[in-house]
Amino acid sequence: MKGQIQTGELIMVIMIVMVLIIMGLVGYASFRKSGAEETQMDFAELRTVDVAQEIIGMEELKCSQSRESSSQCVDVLRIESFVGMMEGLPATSPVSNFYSNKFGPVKIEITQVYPAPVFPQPAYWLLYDGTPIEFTSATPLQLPVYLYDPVEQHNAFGYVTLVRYS
Amino acid sequence: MKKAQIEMVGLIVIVIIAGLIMAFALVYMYQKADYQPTTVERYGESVVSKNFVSVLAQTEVPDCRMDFQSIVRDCTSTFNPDPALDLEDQGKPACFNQDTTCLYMVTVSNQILADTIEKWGMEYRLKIESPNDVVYETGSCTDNDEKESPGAYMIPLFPMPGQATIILEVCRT
Repeated sequence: MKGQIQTGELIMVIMIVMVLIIMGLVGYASFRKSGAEETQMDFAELRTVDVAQEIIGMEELKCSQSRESSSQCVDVLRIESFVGMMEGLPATSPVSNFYSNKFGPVKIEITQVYPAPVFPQPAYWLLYDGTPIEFTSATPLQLPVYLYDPVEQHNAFGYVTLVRYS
Repeated sequence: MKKAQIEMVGLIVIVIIAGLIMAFALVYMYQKADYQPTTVERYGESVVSKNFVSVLAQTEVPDCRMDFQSIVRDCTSTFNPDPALDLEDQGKPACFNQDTTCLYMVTVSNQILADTIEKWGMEYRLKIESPNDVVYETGSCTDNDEKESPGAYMIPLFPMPGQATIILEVCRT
């Protein structure tokens, strides 16, 4: 009888130790997995930052005059020209492929905030739409820029919106 | 050492191990619950504050036929800190309908903040300072809030000494 009790105790101790080991392994595995996911997310976010910097510095959009803070200046006529060019392009054209390789799955918009645009100038331009059919997350990033009108020689307050899909 | 004592020691060891595992689990769960801003959020806050003040300063205000930094220069250089005086009545009546530059400084900055930073769900504090006083301050950030480096734009008040400053802080409350 005493031997049976001791065997039962031993089995209980072994089971408790096993449960503790399994809990530790599960905890460690989930910790490693979440760490890897965070690293992957960080890389995706760094890519968003890269694309945002590329957009601000794009020769197709930035002001041509040597101006103060020209890195934050976008030329309104160049925006309209770029939007017109992109609208007329088939999705398989080399130019479309160039921009889809350059930006990846993103949507880029520019919005004028102040002063309110006078008709027929729009307050919003869709520069590029690479929204994928299926995505799990959309990370938006807004960057203030000033919109320079070279005809009227006016600066307006605007911002670039970059939405990155993953 | 008696057998019962050995079993007690074994039990204590198991309880200690279980306690350690639970302590690690609690620390890990607490860390996960403590919100950390992402790279994009930190970059966004930093660039927004720096770009915002620079772009705002150079924005044209058609009703006053000058840019925002000229409006700030005019308002801050004539600012009287007497609390009996309304800020919006100060400055030159140089804008549409004889409204003052200080009134336009407040309304234009509030309108742009409402259409941008507030719309993006960010907390902020905008300060416009003369060499000696805070002329205008708006937003909910405090000195104790965690924030990225603020954006600042200096406007020389020449021929007067010193400079006016537009400062924007974006914070996490």
